[in-house]
Amino acid sequence: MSSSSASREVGAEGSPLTPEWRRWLVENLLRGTAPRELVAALEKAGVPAPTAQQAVAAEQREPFVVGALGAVGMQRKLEGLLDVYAELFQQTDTPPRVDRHEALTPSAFFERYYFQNLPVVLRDAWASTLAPGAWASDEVAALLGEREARHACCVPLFGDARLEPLARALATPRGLAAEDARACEPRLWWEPPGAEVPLRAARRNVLLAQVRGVRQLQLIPAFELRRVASATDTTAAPLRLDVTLSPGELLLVPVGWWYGFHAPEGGLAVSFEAFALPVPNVTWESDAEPLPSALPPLD
Amino acid sequence: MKNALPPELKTWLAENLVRGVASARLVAALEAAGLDPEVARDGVRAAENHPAVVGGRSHAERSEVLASLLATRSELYRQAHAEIRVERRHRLGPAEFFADYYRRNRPVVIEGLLEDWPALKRWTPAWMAERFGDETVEVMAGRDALALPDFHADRLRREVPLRELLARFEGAPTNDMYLVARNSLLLREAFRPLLEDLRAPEGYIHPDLDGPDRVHVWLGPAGTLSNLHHDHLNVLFCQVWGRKQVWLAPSWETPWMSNMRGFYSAVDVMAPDTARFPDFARVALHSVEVGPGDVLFLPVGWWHALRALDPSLSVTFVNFEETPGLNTFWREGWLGATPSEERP
Repeated sequence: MSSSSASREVGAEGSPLTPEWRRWLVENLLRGTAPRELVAALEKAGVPAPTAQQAVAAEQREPFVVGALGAVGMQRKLEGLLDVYAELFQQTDTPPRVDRHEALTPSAFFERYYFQNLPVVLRDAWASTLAPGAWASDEVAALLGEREARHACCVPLFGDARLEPLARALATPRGLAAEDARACEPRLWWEPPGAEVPLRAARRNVLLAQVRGVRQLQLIPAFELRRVASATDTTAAPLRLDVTLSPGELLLVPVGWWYGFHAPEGGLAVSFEAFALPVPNVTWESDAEPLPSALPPLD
Repeated sequence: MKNALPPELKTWLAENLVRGVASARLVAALEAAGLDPEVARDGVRAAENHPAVVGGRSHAERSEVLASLLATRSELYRQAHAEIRVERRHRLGPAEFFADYYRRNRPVVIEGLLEDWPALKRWTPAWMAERFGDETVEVMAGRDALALPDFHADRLRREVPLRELLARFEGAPTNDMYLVARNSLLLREAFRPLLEDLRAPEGYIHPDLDGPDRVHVWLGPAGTLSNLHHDHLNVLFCQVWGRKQVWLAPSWETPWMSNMRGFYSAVDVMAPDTARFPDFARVALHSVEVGPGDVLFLPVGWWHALRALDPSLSVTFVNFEETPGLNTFWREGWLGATPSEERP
């Protein structure tokens, strides 16, 4: 490209470049290219050095460009922060894994896992509160109905007349979930043999109590957001943690983490979403409509 | 009417549009601020159609999702800590330090870690003036005259005899002269003896202190102020003399810190203007005082401000044991162009 097509005598709004070259400049600034490199590229295209410098400087000063660069830069910055958390998480002697406990006090559960936004598997006596007859796989399948039981489902236990026999006497994991079963918004997770459930995000903390069958889960930490969200990024796969959940075990799926699972022999579980805390849960408002920031001071 | 909006409002519009804020909300906000409705509408339309805004949206599609994710961390932290304070631990062991603080990105004050430092007893302002008073040191001078003096550090460098800096200790508190880390003072032949009076805290810091950027000295009168900023790496901050007031805010609260440039917040920690920076009011601001012999762990990304309550000398280390590459870096932490690349 010759200088005559890239630059012109008098540019609009202080830039000596044509609109096409200005767009090229803006796009490259947004990509994070260093201004120095942009000047060099313009010079290579035949723009005289002082003009190239002036053009890049003018674009960097342009108020709309400044604002756009601020927002783009902040996203890049926050993704870099999540990478810091990812690195810190992986600085352990053994490959990262989900902790398992035969016994864990509620205070340790909250301090070491819930408030640290980390998953944990623990054995709990909760399953022994269930009437074995009512919670047999065949019985639950019959309640759901033959058609629905053919597919994996996740349905609220309260407010569904079919499931009333299960909801009626439902207790909650002591010390971990809120005592009031209804407040925990429990759901019945049902999978026929071989069911696969793809990855999804946990918008709240979920305590998943396995009743029947073995559930093979994959968990992806919240700080892997960039790698989960950008499907085009083939170079870096998100960190995945494998967890096997057996009957009688509870899993904390922390808010912001992703989970997917496989139930080779079919599975049955109950989830709880209110915890034994003054504030029963934390919600990831990922769909909230963004609000304007404070206006700058006006003269 | 194209130029009817002042540049600050254009910038504000572009930033909000790229973040995904609805145009109608922006028009309403401008009108609420007293702008003519037609000017507001035209301004928003011009911003919407600008290539930087159109192109910027595809580079910032996750910014709100990121901010809301960090907000969950912020909420969990607040629920876990009824009282916002920095923990104080006596002779905390390295294993516990790395597991509970370094890897969790949490600050802590550790006492008793510097008990074997000759510096704590030997280094006094008078002793330093006598031994090293004629040596020139590089200070940042004229800090009072500039907003964001640390952002413009290169412009404020000045050489003075150490005696001149120490003489400032007698006067009223001032932020005008400060010897800061970028000096690599202890690498200079004349100051080498000082290195003998320090110890790398065992198990925390790599024992080899003999290299660039392994140990830094901060020296200044009462009143020096480093306003709110964060670093791109973890820092172990050791107080030798004097007391410092330190403010800290969690790394995950970055979206609410009014971070417009580099590592710096626009908020003045001494007088936060919450009308102009309303988000700052939601930040979990910690405050802690460190005195001689105290060690403060400043986790990577945590916002902090430091003010010297007395003439003060601090030493910092950044080479951590048990850490790949000796530290954990925030690689994309600098917002915008650096001062050197600001103008091409």
